[in-house]
Amino acid sequence: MGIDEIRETMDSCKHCFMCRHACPTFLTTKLDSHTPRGYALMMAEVDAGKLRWAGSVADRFYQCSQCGLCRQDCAYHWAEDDLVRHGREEIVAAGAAPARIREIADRLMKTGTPVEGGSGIPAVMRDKIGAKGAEVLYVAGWAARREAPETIEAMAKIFDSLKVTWCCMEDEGCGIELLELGYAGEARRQAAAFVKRVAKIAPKRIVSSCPHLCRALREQHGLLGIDPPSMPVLHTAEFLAVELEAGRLSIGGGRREAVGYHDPCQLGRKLGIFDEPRRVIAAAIGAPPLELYHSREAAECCGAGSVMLTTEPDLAADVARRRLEGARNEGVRTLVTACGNCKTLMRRALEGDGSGMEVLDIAELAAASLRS
Amino acid sequence: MNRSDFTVEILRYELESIVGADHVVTDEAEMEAQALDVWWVTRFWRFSDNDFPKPFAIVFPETAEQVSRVVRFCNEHRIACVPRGGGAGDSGGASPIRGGVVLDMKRMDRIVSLNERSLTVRVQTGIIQKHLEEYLNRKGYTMNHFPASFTTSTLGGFISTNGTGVLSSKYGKMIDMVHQLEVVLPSGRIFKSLPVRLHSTGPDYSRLFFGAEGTLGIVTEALCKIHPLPQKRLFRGFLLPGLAEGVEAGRRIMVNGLQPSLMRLYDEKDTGHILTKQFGVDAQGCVMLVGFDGRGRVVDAQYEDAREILEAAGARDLGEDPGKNWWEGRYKSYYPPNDYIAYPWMTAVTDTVAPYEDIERIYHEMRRAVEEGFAQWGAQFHAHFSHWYDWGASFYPTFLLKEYPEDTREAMRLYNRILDAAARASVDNGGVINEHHGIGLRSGRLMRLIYGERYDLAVDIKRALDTQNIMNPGKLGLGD
Ligand SMILES: Cc1cc2nc3c(=O)[nH]c(=O)nc-3n(C[C@H](O)[C@H](O)[C@H](O)COP(=O)(O)OP(=O)(O)OC[C@H]3O[C@@H](n4cnc5c(N)ncnc54)[C@H](O)[C@@H]3O)c2cc1C
Ligand code: SF4
Ligand code: SF4
Repeated sequence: MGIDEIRETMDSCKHCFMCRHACPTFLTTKLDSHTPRGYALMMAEVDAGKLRWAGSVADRFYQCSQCGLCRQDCAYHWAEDDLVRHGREEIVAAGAAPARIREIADRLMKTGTPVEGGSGIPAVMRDKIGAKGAEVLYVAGWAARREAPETIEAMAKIFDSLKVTWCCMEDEGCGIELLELGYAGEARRQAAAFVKRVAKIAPKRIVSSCPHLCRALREQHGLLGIDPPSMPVLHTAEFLAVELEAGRLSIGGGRREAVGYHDPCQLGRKLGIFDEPRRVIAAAIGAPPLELYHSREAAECCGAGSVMLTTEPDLAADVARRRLEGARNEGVRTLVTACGNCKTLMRRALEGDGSGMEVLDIAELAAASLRS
Repeated sequence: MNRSDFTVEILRYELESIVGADHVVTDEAEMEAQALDVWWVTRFWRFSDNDFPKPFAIVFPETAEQVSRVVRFCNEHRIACVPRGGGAGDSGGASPIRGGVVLDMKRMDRIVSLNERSLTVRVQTGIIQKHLEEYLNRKGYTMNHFPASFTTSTLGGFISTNGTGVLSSKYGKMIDMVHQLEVVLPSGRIFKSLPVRLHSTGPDYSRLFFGAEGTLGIVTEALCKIHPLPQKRLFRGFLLPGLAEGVEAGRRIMVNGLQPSLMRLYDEKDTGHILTKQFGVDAQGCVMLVGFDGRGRVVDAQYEDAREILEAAGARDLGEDPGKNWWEGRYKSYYPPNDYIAYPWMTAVTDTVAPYEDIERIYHEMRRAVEEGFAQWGAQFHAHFSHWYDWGASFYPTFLLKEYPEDTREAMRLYNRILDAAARASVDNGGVINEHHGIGLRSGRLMRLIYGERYDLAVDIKRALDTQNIMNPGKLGLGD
């Protein structure tokens, strides 16, 4: 990606204040350098040779969750989020990536996961790794593996109830986080290796609890010149909705009050998947979820998007607290999401706050209401 | 400020002890991002490779007490103190031209209380107007303040420039929308005006701060009027034969006590632009958009009377689409690319308000001053009349030059000459320039032209309240 590809965006956004009211990072820090306009201004100044990629300037570029709210709000849908990602590529190319970013990139290159000690293999996955001839390749995502294995246990229960054979991969590194961090070359290598591993397993369907991975396979690998896999790639919410509509999945009776749904940015705004999770929730609890004031295309980001969960855990948790407080004020007691990153972050943000609020992955809600 | 690194560190520590270390920002990224507002001159200067004065710290207070302590600190050290809301003003008002401390108000965005009996909301002024409106909408209310910078500017910024929204003909300007203000004065003392403004218990002192642009203190809290969400909103477009017929019809609507919330009359040039582009209509004349809101039957009855007045003036009904589409897309033209005011084209708005007997003449004189006076630069001028009262109206003119001298200083000189010519056309014909865009640095030098000797009073007030001239110095033509 060269700067000319985003020059038009940069030259528009650097003059414009209109969408900042929506930017979750800005709303948390109130810094202009965390606004779309701030990013565009800084980038233009670097391009003009008046500013260097260093210190706070480089730092800020890793504090955007790539949630796409700016693009959504923008009357002309300028690709401000792409601009930030492009900025990261420039930062890496200039050798100016902050130390923590280099460390995370290093881990991703070595282990396929951004966190120290890797993602681990939850017990429920152990005998599924490399299982031959399975119908579904289930990719849980590092956050679910490491922080929320109950999501995977729920999916296991659902697969079993559907009598669907499934398998997993030990190394789920698909390159997307490296791409997000600005390491496009390494991302391409990792993505290619991922696709090769998938081809070897040759499942009929890929199902993932990670919207980032779904989007990587459906859209972003294309940016890296890598063909999409030959089999369908479904997010768990889509998978559950398909099975529900086909009459194979039988859920219900898990009636709960005050259930809201948080649209994960990558699943909702970026992939346009809004209705399937709502249908699954409605089937599970017998009523549609509460619609948050900011929902669907305009859903607020929880802060975990892109790589912010790992690059900026404290800032991301502050962003999540805002989102949770908003949901609580709208009467939500159980917030359902469909992304391991969202769940991990929101749960961390709730720790010790005494609110009694609960965050569940959609798979957990569905599994808990399975009819035997 | 010319101080050693050592003193800067000491001062920084003092500020941190007031607002907390996380809320004193001195990094390069934030300095860059805050360097510009939307005034053409600030942007032109910066994008022409020049540097801009920077504050030594940007401070984010959370309470009026913290603001007060920061202001006292500035007083003790004789450091400039520049309040900043959204930073989206277009006259350099929030530029820290003497360095010092920028007091960024955006952390002060708490809604303190909602009163559903007297219909008020008490709120800290750093809140972005859109966020306040969203809060109210969820409760079934609205503030009815919809300026084009609604998504990005703060309540405090609007109070401090006495801003105007698109429904002002019914709901008024900022000064009409607020009952009570809390202000941190330049001494650091906290002043709270009386709980209501319509009294005869001495003058209404809160008036001093509407439009003061941070030169007399920092507005920290406001008690604002709210309204129930309207039962009905009605919009309609009309095509009038010319500007004169449009102004007269607008006047009649207002002096007859009708209360349109929206009335926008576009001059021929604006009409040509928007008719084809936005409404797909190809016709000559001036478009007038009207809107009424409130209880259904009242809306219908008022609209019927307005329609009669418009038809008597020769208006052709364009149906509801133009008005409705305009309302629904009212912010769209402010998102870039803006084909009317796109940078680097040289543009400025010279909004003017005047009584009915003068307003139309001012329009023609201003237009002549710009288009004929600067014909060699191909100066363009277009306007719409958007805020109407029962005594007069205001129009919103924009001048536009697509070509100007390459030399930065020459270009800025040209800009100022056009601005001066437009201001003179207004002042010489009985008008007041600006209606809502603030003075800041842009028009400070024009204050003596506008006020004459009367401006001594403003200077006296400034000196009395701000003995060390620390509050947003250099703005409003109040001296350095
Ligand atoms: C796209 C666009 C459209 C616009 N449309 C409109 C419009 O329709 N109507 C309108 O009225 N204006 C409009 N404006 C102008 C601008 O939004 C207003 O001038 C607004 O008042 C600026 O508010 P802000 O919060 O951005 O303030 P800033 O730009 O930060 O500050 C403006 C001035 O107020 C002072 N100030 C800010 N906060 C405080 C405070 N709490 N206490 C004391 N002083 C303070 C600052 O020092 C400065 O002098 C528009 C601007 C843009 C960019
Ligand atoms: S994305 Fe659109 S609204 Fe946001 S800064 Fe850029 S041009 Fe403005
Ligand atoms: S993508 Fe999200 S976090 Fe990033 S600049 Fe846009 S709104 Fe802000």
